[in-house]
Amino acid sequence: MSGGYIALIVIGSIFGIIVLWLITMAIGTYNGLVQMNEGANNAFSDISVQYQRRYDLIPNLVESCKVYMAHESETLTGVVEARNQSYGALKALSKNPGDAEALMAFKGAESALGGMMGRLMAVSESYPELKANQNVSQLMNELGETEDAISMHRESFNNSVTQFNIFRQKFPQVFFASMFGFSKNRELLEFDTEVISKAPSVGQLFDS
Amino acid sequence: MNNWLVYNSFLFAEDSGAELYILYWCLVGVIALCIPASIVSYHRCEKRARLIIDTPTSKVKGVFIGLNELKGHVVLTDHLISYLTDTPCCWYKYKIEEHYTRTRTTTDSEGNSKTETYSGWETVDSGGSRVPFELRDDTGRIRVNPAKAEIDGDESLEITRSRIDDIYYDKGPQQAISGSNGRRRFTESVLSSNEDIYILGSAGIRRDVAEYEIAFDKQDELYMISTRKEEEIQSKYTRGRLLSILGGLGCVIGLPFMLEFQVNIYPQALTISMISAPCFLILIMFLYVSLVFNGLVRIRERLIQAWSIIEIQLHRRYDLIPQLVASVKEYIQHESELHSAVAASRASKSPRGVLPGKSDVNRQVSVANAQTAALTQLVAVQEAYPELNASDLVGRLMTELSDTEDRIALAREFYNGSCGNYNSRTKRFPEVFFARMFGYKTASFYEIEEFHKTVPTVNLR
Repeated sequence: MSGGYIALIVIGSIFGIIVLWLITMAIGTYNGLVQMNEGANNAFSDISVQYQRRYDLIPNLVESCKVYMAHESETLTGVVEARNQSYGALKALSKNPGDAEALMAFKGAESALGGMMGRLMAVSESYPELKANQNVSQLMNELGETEDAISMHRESFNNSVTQFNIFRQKFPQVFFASMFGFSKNRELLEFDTEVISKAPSVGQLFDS
Repeated sequence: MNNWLVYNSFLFAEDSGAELYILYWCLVGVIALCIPASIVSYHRCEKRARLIIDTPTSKVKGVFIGLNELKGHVVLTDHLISYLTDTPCCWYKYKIEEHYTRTRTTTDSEGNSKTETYSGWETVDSGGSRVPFELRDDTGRIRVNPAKAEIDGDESLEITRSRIDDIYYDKGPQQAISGSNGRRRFTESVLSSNEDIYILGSAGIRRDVAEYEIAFDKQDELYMISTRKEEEIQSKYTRGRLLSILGGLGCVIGLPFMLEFQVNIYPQALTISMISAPCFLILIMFLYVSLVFNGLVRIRERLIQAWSIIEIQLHRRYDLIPQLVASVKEYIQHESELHSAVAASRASKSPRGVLPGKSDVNRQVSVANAQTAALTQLVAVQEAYPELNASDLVGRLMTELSDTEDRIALAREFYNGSCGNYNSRTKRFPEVFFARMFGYKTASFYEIEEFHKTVPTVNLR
């Protein structure tokens, strides 16, 4: 074997290795870019899922609170009214102890009161903690968690986009990226900075 | 033309030829492998050193989805006991080695046999386990899932024991290895409660609740949990890269000389070394430049991401607070309506006394009194503490307001930290040349306007 042939084989195989390496690199870049791009798209749709969840959940929770508050009002004022009636009847009865009609009215008022009290007692006993403020407290929990979930998914999308952008611009991917149609960075979420930067005025919100 | 590969054994005496020959070529193989190993090691050390320096530290409350650097201490949440020391922990790794002395007989080409002894340590058992835990700092706690993390814990045990000690057979295998001397070495590392740790890893969303957790992400370049301080880890990698270069260089220069020992190579060892050493250094330089360039890309994109985190927290405040205030307002209104209705009707009646008259009237009255007493109690509580229920909710509102502002402040701090790292990186040599070439501008810090510096007055009337 002459030195010339050996040198040729060596150089040829080195060249071959380099070409093979480049091809592998190109394939790897393409796959990576596609995967990350799709990951970012996926993360974007996840945000919409959270918006939908908020849209569906919160109004229902608010309604439940309102319903319970109304129920609480009704029950309590219902009991107070029945008690007032009962006392009216009792006073009338005490003035005319023999009056059968007065006695009937009193008995009627008493049983009505008994019924109301029963309802109030039943509710307080079965759900001793279930007062309207518990409901509102739970509503506030859910509001906080819903907004947290939305924030987290926005962050997740921005992170996916950042990972894609980094990968696209790194060496050696940067040489292949344009070739495969990924010639620009993706954009992170856009917000109206002017609008959201203002701190909310709780005072104004309470007054409105 | 001569064959350029000629076997020449004049350096080795006949009787020990075979063994020394094998040893020699093993050594050559090892040195040859060290060269690519040192390149890989350099790349790894350089990349990690940069990553650790460039990533600013976050507080637990300021964690965002992405790569975070956290410092705090361990809070155990799941049950795990280490094997050797029975320490409650979230991670442990142990190894049991046994000392042996063995003999080897070799026969050389002349039929003479030689017996020699050699000894060492052989690993007879090893293992470990890990479970999720929490990292706590002064702002809160976050769950950490250590699967696939590189964990560097403190060594809690390193002892050597003999057969008469309990631990020898309690924790070690019952069978001895060949040539055993009856001595075993037990080593264990654990991550136990309250340990101060450093974590570099990605935060993701937990599956079960809308909360953050640190867990492995396949896009991660590094996921590490360590009991060492950040500075220590950093210097470990900066030293590591220097050692890799020197080690690799040594191997590259030394290998031709080693080969020359046994084999007649062309051209001369010195010539080869003089060519290959600069080639090695050029390769290192090439890697360095690519790491510098990639590091710049990364730090810029991460800075842009840091700014977006602020905006996301601002948006959260913008959406959340009005909703919370509206809820509390509704409730306060409901409460006050209730109270005034009850108070109004209560004012006009007084349920006392027993009326004279017939016994069933009396009975009715006492029943009425009892019922009234119960109702009175119920109503009295609401009236005596009319603010009690509403104040719970207002308290909640205040906590949420302060928490929201905390998160915004932490996001701004993180952005400023990222800015600082970015600016110092782009002004440093050699990045400063690349920065100019590729248009990396100086980043501006988040600063407040003058009027924001005045102390707000708290006027409660």
